[in-house]
Amino acid sequence: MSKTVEIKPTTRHEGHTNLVLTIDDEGIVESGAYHSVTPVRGFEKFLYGKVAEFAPIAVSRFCGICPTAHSTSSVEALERACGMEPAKDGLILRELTAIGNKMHSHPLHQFLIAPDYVPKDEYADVVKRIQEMRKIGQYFVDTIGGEAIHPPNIKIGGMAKNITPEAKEKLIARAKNYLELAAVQCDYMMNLFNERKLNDGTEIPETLGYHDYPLLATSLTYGDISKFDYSQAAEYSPFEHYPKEVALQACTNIPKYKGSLVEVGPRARMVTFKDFKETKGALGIHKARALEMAHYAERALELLDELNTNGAPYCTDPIVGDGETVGVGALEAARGHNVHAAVVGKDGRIVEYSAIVATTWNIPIIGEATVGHHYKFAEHVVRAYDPCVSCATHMIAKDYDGNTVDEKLFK
Amino acid sequence: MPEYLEKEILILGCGNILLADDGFGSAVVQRLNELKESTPKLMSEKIGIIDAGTGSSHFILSLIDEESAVKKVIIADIIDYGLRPGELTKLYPDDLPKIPKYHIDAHDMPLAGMLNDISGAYGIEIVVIGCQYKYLSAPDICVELSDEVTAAIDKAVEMVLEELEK
Repeated sequence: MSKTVEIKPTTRHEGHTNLVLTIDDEGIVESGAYHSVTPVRGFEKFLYGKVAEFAPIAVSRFCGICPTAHSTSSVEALERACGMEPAKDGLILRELTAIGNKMHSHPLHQFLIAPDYVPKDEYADVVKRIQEMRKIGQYFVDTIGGEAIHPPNIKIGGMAKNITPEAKEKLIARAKNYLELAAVQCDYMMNLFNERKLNDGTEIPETLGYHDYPLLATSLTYGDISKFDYSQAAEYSPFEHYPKEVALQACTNIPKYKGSLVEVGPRARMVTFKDFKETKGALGIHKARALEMAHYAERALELLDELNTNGAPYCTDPIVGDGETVGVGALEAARGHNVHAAVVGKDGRIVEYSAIVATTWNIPIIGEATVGHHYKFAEHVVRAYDPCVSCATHMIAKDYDGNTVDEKLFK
Repeated sequence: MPEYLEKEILILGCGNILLADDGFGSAVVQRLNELKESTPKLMSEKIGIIDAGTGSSHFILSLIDEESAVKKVIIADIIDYGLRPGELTKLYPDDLPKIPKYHIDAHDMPLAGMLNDISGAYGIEIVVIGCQYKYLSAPDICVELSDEVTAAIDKAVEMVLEELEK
């Protein structure tokens, strides 16, 4: 006889996600649905009629975690809607800011999973290294983006400011430092993941989180719109995907690409661009994320080498569209393929705006990926995806929590 | 470390401009930035002014440790203390909600708990310039402050400047 387990995250806010699982007598998950229950988004509608320049500022407030990612996808979409050619050095600076954001985000995720994996006596050293890495990531965002949280320099046409040659030298030194820290941190985490054990000794099933859906990534470190056909992306109502009782609560649409659900994020990027062998599962995502950190620092060094600090950071083309052209911006954010699409009118105002943020792609996959293993592992599948449902639905925070399995409800 | 952790005093405007009066903190920061040229003390190298928007815990407070130069954090934010809309009050760590145990989660770093922590652990002086809100639009979007909260911005800026003198 099947039972239902509902893992409800604890949260200070109204908004959060639920994981609804049906399990058999042994506790093995037979079906899983992971869904956001934050208030329905419709977030982009308020942008209609606003001047285009307001969009990157506003979308940066979608969420407290991904301001840089959303501003970046937004300006990319708006530039294409307006047929603008952004300044070359501006694009370099923009990619560096986005990389800084990921250099901060990935280690932070390792801090969040540390209580699951890192032995207690090693915890302090690991956290110290993670903090060092986060500070370097934030040094990039602050120095190039212009401010720590909502980088004001990210603008349509490029970046508002170039950096000084001195700042460039400092960034190079810090990227090299990051590379050293990332090598140590990556080795350390890879050893833990290869052991396939939680720090309480529980063995993690080898196939935990396996699924057969395709992966979607357009670039290892930034975003390449030529590898994404927006006309092949479609969003479906939750009622077309979840059982009715779950759909009634679910608050994100279900996006598909070329007719299929897709996984986005570190594993998708590493498999697509780095021939990453460990192709599946929760631990595969963790490993891919650990490996990516060094790639970010390497790419940052390449970009800094290319950067002309005397180059114009932005182009001065007028920010006007034709009222029809759909401009699409796709950034590989920390959590994956983050798509914004915009139409700008001849008056420079927004006619249409839409976003499919990274975690939205992964939400329907996460529930299904819990199937086949004991429900006690389900939260580890969720956590591997580092879901950020706050921006997938709304800025009201969603969270998940290591201790909530104790609050499971049997119906 | 990022430059803002090398500042002795951080002024953080917290809140979301998309949720009506929650944009108060950003508005205070904007005014402070406008006043920079005419107010020499705001130009000091020791002071960092940041539109912390929706991410102060995530990108700033959780990075403060014994290496940071930060000695004082001044926060401008809305509060709900049952005051008249637009009424301002100063709050200190002892006045903030006591959350006995909170989980560090990237998606939900409670401000009050974290302020208490950094105040306790690193002896950082914390003061919140709190403004009673009138209207919060969540989950709807409203990019506009109420008249009462708009009227409080100048006074809040004065209170921030006073704190710089102490």
